[in-house]
Amino acid sequence: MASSEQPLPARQDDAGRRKRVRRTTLVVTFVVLAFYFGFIAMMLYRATH
Amino acid sequence: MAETPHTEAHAHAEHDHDHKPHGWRRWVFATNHKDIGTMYLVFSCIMFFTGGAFAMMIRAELFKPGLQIVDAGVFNSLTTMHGLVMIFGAIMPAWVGLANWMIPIQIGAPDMALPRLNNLSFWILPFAFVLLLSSWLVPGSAPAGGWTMYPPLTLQFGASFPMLIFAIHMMGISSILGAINVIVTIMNLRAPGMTLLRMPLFVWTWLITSFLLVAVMPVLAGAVTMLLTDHFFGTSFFNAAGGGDPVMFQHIFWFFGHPEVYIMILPGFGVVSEIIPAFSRKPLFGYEAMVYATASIAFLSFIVWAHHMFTVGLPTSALLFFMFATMLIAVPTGVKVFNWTATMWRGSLTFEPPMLFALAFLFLFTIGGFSGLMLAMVPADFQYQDTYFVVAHFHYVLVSGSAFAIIAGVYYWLPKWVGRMYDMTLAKWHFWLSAIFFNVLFFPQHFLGLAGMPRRIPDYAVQFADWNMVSSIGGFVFGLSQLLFPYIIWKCVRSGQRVEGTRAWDGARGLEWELPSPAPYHSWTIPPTEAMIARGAEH
Repeated sequence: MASSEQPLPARQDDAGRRKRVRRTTLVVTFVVLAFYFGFIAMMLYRATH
Repeated sequence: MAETPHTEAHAHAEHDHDHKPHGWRRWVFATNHKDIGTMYLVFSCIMFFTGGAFAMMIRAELFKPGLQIVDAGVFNSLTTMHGLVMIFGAIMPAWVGLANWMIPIQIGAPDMALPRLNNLSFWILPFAFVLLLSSWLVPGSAPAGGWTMYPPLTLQFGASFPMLIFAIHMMGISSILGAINVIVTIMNLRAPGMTLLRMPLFVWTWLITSFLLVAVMPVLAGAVTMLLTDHFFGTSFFNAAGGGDPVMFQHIFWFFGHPEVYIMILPGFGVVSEIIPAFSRKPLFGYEAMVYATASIAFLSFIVWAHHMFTVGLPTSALLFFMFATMLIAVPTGVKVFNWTATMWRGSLTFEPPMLFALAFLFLFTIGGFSGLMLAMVPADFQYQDTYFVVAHFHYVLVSGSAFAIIAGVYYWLPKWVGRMYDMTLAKWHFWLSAIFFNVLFFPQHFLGLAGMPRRIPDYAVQFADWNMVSSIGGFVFGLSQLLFPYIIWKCVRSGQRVEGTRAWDGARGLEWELPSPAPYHSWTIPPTEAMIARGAEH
């Protein structure tokens, strides 16, 4: 079998990958919450000033 | 011989049943991306026919002038519910279903990054739609203020109003969770060697779509929360009597609403970018340009929202800005249409059902794009606003841009999912009936709109009778012909001819075609090889 058919080296260890997954999830979730509450805060500000 | 991912996948296929949960638990507690993808697609199909049934009733009422079948209130509910069900129940879940099925196997990941969240984002949806659809049964009937929910009209509805708001929230949460999952999966679980610019276009378009979802669904949620507090808690965000501004709702809604159009269409661009090269036996022309064009369209979608509301009394400078910004979208869209056409140029073309639907997408979406350019021109839009011309335009964009692309995607990947080929003749019948009667249904609506027929009305002047009758006949045949779709799939799953080898289509490229057919329940537990990735990334 040609060497190009060999599997690539294993991915990052599971712990490292889990950490990256958790970090990306938290960042994106923070963006969602910031948009939601930021938007309502902006409207509240506009409604009261 | 060392075990390769390919042989490992074969071994999985042979012992598939050993690793699969059985019975209702497999679906209720599903964490496998393929199972969740299947549930999304089945749910979407049910919603497609539910929304389609509302459309049939709309067209039946409009078959002749005068009121024959439903009263004006029910008609308004039908148009509102048709829009909500088709957008949030049929098109968006279908794309999430395709994303679930295809993204992990296209990037060489064993599953989505957040499988339990994936389960939650699906199972929210049936509850949201039971709530929304049960609003037909409450006093005052279903919401009737249009899917855009403009105040003050939408605030005047009875018991259905909080049901609508809660259902919208649940759909929004489902979409956001799905988008988070897609972003996290693509960012973190790509196989080694699967660099961003080697990803299939479907994955790219979904990544960009996910960012759109994350950015705009909270805005919709915020807007409907403010509607809720205006209705029940005495606030005046959109109530002019209390110092609020109803037009502000339109600005907020369309800040969500226009990117939402691209949320429904961008994954279609991705599917078509997979199918056209496969059936042209050529690499996609201008892969990187396609990626940048998609990103440009997504960016521009944030700065064009007011073209939906040219007639509300915007300053001239705003009218000019939104007109030119809207026209600018034609540039990256033109790049895409050019590249799809250039991909076919001197290709070895064949016309199996996925390619037929992809070509219909190309032609019909372009027609929708041209009528969109007409609507983008402020002086012309003052004439077209709220006429059937707009209805014709967005159905050309959404039915061909989304529904045809979804059907094309299902016909393209179905042999990979179930390991069987569908009845090609029936699928071609499905295509020709859809393509012909889609045009019979929607093309006359351009004439009706240009002649001045307003949208969202149950009755109309006699001068509009002929084209309405033609449009309704087109609608009935188009609607009935869609019944072929689930039948073809059912027949394929039960008794379709088995697909030999990994590739159902000889021009197909990508990691999904390196897996056996049907794709094993657990795929890419060992990452794909560099050679496999390179074969799929021959851009």
